[in-house]
Amino acid sequence: MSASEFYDRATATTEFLEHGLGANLSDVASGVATTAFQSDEADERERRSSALYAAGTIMERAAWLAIGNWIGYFESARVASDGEREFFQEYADAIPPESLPDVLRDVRNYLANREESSDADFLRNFNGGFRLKEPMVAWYPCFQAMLTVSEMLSGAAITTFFRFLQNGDEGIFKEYEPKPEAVMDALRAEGDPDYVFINRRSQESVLAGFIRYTEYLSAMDGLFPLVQATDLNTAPSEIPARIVDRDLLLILQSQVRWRYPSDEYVFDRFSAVLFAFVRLAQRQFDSHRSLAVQWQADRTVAEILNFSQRFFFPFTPHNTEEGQADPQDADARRARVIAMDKRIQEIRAEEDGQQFLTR
Amino acid sequence: MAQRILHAKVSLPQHKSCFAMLSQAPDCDVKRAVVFIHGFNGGARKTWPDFLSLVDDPAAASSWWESADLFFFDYQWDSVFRQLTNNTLKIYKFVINVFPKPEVIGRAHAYRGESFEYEQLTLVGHSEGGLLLRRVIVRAAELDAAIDTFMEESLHKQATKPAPDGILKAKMRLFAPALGGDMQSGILGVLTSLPVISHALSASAAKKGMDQGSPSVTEARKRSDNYAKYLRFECFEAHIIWAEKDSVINSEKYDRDKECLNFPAGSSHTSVCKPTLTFTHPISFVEEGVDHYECK
Repeated sequence: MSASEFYDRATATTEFLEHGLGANLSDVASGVATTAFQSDEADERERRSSALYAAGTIMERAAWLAIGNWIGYFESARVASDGEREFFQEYADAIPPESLPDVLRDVRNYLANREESSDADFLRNFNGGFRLKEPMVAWYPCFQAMLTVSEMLSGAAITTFFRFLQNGDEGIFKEYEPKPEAVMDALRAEGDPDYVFINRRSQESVLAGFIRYTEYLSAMDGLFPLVQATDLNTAPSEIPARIVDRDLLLILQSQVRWRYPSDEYVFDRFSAVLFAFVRLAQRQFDSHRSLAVQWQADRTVAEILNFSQRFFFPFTPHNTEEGQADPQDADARRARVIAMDKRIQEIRAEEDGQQFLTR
Repeated sequence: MAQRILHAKVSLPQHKSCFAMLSQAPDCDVKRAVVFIHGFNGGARKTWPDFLSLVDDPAAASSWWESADLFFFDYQWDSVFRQLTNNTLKIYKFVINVFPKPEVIGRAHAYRGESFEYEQLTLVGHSEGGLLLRRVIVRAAELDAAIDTFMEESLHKQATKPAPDGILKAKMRLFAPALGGDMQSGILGVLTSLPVISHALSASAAKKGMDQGSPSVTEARKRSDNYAKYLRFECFEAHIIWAEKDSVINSEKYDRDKECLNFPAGSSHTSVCKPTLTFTHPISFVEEGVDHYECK
């Protein structure tokens, strides 16, 4: 019996497609596309932005399936329904492949291809940067936890936040300060999702989404803590596989990165929400002085920025040599690359040319 | 080396947002259910993220976990005061549908045969989840006819103490349990419970403005302590671990609770229940309670 037979792949696949993250992403894609096109309030720009968000969601779902199948966690399954594929092809030109990480680029190109092709063939040929010798059973628990935590990304509020990053007008946060009660209402409304995103009346919803976004980041930090060799009292070359495997899985976790658009306005939009959040928190603490709350806002901001960089623009070997203010930090990162390289040598198929750390 | 038995995530048909991690061991090897209840502004996914993977990691979790099914309950999070009774009832119903017979997982897959029953139950709560679990146990005791008779008779004579039955067989493991009414609700409560803010609060912060005199709180405590005094069931003697830098709640135990003597270094109200690759204490605590060596 092979190692993968210890795992119930059929249940894992059904769970993803019918109840878990895959089902949720499908719901978001259809919800966003449908409501935007039916809303009388949405203008043409907002409709197009909705369509692109729906297309990105379809692509992300397909990428989860492809990665899961590559490591042996999922069975082969439909990558997208006929309707989703047709929809994606209509908007694929607006998702330039060069703006995407490698894993997503392969998925995007497959979904955009109008020629007859088979999902089974695509999944069989797909790899996350190198071919594997055997199913990566050791990765299943963490991958499963990633799937579960990533279900947080399909909530209505966090969807509004990401849509603001794509198409928002940061000026709305200068018009008035979001009302705390309305932010609470937006958080409560998640059980009854409304995917309509209208720039001019979304401050509180965007802020509620940002709160959910920080929770997602914290949960991801739980799954991918920064563990240094010094924490383990070990030489870098002896970092255990269970730690190095998380580094590899974090690099693979690139299917969510399309949510941060590569346009020049994204930083302004992100900053506008971040500082609206800080002002909201500070006002709350200031108005409850009897609680003697002492909050280090700069520490919170630094943590959010740090997490955002790690989980949406993760560390890759490309930036290990440059831009490191702390030489010890650069040394630690180089050591991790060596450890990852060693681990890849162990798990990749014999005939495979290693691309993962150089792509 | 024997292959580690992993857990598979399955959704629970009647409970949106809740899920289970079922051991892939055969029924005959599965002994226990572990039920997790999050706190205010928490969630089944965000409060316990790395329990999901680390229970399958032999370097982080003992083989105890291989014979355990895990259930993660999700309830309306803005519950402080307003939803306390409602959520207690929901959790009570959920737990009696888990233990001893896991009706809650449905029949959509091959896990757990018709006649399967768990032998043991561990209830795990974080913050407000701890208060809710105490209320669940009090409710179960109030509905237990044998306990009712015993409590009545013991007022007048030496009565025979009943054995714990059903969910009263549970062991309680509580991470920074709230006394109830001692937490901020509304947007301030949400903000103080966010990990990115909780970590940056000073230790003397939000726990000052509390309402420990709330009838729902004092009543739950009075009844728990009373049952604990007469019955000495494990479910009334919660094992507790507090955070080192808790800015959100007051730490005060019930009479018979047992406390971990060491605070996990650097832990905050939100992080104390979250194991990581290098902080596996929460996993051992669920298994062994204060008997774990790091608590002594």
